[in-house]
Amino acid sequence: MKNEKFDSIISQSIDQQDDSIDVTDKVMNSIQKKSLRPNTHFVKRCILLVCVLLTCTTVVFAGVKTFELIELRNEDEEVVSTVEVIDTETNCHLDVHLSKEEFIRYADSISSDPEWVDKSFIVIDTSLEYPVNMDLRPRYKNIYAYDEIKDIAETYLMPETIGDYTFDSLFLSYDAAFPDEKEIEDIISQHPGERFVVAEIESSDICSVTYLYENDGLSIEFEIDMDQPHDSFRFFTSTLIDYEVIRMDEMDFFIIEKEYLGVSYGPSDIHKVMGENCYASYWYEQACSARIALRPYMLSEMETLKEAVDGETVIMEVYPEDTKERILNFSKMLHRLFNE
Amino acid sequence: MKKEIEACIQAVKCGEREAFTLIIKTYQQPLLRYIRYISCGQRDMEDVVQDVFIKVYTRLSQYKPHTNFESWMYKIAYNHTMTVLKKKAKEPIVYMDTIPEVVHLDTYGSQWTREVIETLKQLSPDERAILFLRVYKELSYKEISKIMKKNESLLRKKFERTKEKFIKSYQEVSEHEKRKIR
Repeated sequence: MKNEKFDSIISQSIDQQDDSIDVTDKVMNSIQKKSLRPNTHFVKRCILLVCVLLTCTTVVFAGVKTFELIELRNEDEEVVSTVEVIDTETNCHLDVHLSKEEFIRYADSISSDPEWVDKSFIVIDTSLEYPVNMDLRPRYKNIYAYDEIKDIAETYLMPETIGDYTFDSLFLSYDAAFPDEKEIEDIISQHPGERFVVAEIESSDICSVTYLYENDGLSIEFEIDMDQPHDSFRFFTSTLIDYEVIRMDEMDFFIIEKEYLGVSYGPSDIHKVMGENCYASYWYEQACSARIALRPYMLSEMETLKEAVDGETVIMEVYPEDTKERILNFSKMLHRLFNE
Repeated sequence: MKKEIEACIQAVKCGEREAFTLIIKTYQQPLLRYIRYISCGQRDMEDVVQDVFIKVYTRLSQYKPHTNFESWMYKIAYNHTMTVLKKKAKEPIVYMDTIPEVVHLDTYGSQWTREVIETLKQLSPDERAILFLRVYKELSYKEISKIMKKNESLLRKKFERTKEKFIKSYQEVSEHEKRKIR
């Protein structure tokens, strides 16, 4: 179903409502006895802050077990995770170096301990080498139930998802705590040469993963269906190398600076070579909108490609000689085209 | 109109209650549409509209002048509607078109629109809300995030998933309706 038809169906269903109503008299009668509330915004903020502080303190001292997921390393084709478990009641630490299978077994063994069942785990994000930016660290604190921890382990510690890449740190963030581009750039600048995985768990069934690579401030945002992580991640481990995100209003643009080998997509994919100087690739992931890669020169092909695109996210392939201004202009043009 | 509304708000804040009348008359239809859409046509939503206006009135001092009053009001309407719906969830759901004496064939007359209604019933109130605000009101995700108190990127993804869900359900409902006709 095309966007226009969808919009039309929604809009017409609303327009056709019988919305005749007049509550003026009833409302005016009701408010005769009411007065305006004073502006308590500042007071509410203070109360909220106090409650948050009290809650944090309570959580720390309430005996909640904590996991600290330290490193995600690929050694000898084996993915290893260092897990630190802190029992906040006794303040004992348990340092454990685990492979993927061991990590899951470890989580399993904890879950069978009656003391741990149904407990919440605080997963603090990573990197002991992180040059302490205390402003950012608290953002990444998350609380997961046990089975979510297991899901995370199974998703991120799978060798085929990591491929040949080595990551020094794994950041897990939940819901609204995802770092913005500025924060990601700060991380990059403070860790030259390092690679990160920043993952956002949006809900228990959908996860967005952002991979950050060395030498760049570049990232790509990708949504993964946690029910089918294999298919989703298989796409992601194709040999994308360097790329950049430019966000333009409501659309995300991923600009690929080097040629990529578009292989190993998800359940359905289409490659389309559109001439010597043009390359367009369209692929569709079950959990994601359609993405399309275009060269800046193939303006004449735009209408054809527009027909093929069902989503709103566009990936634009560029080359080093393309200036940023040109890319931005092109992006704006795309934005107009796909929204007309 | 915006200037007139701002002037009304200032007048109400200064004690001129009657100035609130213009706000009611301006926004009661749009609010009813919104609230009915989120609730998928449940009955008694006119009462909810009334309650929303009373809340808007009592909270007017919290409204910051020259920001988007309509979005601010939609936020109150969204929160209140969700509260009402949660309470109603414990009762049997009564949609307007299930009560014979209030089936408005003029309102939901066409087969096409009936299919949409059935499709909308498959969505959650949150999902209907985001469709309304994004598609019908054409609000940006930034504005919607203020109304629904959800992260922008979350909303973007939620909208895409809701759209896919709607399209899939709509196609299923349409097929089902066609089979009934045959």
